[in-house]
Amino acid sequence: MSDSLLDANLQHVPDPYLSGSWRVVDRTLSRADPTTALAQATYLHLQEGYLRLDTSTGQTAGHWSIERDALLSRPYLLLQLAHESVRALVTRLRHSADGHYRALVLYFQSGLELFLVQP
Amino acid sequence: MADSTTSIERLQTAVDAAGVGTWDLDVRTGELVWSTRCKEIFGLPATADITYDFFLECVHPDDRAHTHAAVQQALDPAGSGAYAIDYRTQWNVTGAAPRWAHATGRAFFDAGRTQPLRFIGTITDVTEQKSNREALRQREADFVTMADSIAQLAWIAEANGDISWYNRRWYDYTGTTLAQMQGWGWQQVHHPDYVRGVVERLQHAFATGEAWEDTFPLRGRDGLYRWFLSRAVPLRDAQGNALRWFGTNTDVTQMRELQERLSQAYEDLEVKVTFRNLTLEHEVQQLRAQLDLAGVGAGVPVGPPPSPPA
Repeated sequence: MSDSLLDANLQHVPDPYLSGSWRVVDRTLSRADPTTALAQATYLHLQEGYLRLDTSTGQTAGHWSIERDALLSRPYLLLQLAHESVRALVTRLRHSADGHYRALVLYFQSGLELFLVQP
Repeated sequence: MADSTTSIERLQTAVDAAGVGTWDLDVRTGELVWSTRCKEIFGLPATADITYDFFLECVHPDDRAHTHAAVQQALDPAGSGAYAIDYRTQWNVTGAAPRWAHATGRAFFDAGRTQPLRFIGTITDVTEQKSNREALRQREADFVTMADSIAQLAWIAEANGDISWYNRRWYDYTGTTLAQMQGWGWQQVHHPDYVRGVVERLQHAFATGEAWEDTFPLRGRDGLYRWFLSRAVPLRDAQGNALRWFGTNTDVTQMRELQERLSQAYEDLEVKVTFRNLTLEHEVQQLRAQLDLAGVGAGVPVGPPPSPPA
């Protein structure tokens, strides 16, 4: 009942809703390699089919798509970077009541978890 | 005359038995007559001679001025002639607290109402009543202090459900006044999606006398809603009828949020496990499908094999 964020229904969320420039505000490495670009990402720019990953030292480009699987109740992102292809589960997607603020949680199969926000 | 004397004596006996002292002041001569009970209330022997000045000396110093003023007011021909006042007596008894007396009287005037003639009245020892009233006031003050210091919002409703009192925390949280909240005015701070159900369930409790418990949102002074676990129990008379209800509202917003987060965390964990093992999960599914197609697992009896023929 407070002014907390509202959960989007991930079964029905339209794909374009995930586009945009996502700022990394927190991360959980678990046993993921901390030296990878993903583990060090500061921004994740998801434009139509095009992906750019910013770190404090550089940028990595690639492609992305949204995938769905009957075994999962949520979509996942397929990120194709220069030398690797990784999958990231959309664990949570929340938004403010007016829709201006959004928060995204991505969970990678490596155990890495990124917490991102817009704007 | 003998009959009249007897009647007066009987009346005096009845008044004495009631613990009431009587006094009679002849305003013109200044003669003041006190009954024995009157003197007892002032801690004086029955043989004591009483004058108005002596009476004032027997009144607690702090009460003398207003006592004298009340007497003068009663004796004023322009006034009503009525006299009613409380003062302390026996104030100089070592080791004992002063006693409280309640005095009433009426002045009688000449035919032209220009001069007071007599001033007659009664005195009653009200120390115990004062003490009881003070104890009651103190208990009420203690209750209010306690009710204001607890973490919950609290309220008292009459038997018909009209709320007549809220603790300080209710007003602090809702930013309302008693005038706004009295009776059933509390619905103003309820969420429109929930208020109807709350009213129905509460009315049922008031009608049946059953203890009430409910959880619903209440709007704070900041306009935001928080969730409250609410309970009310009736205070009953000897016949078991509800006299009034005592209710509390406990803020459970944080607990609900934690429960929700925990529930979400479990849900997330489950889907994360599936996601990490997605390839394996698909292989298992394929294997199951192949087994189903091959008929393995179908029509196979469960239990021990049948015994060989003898």
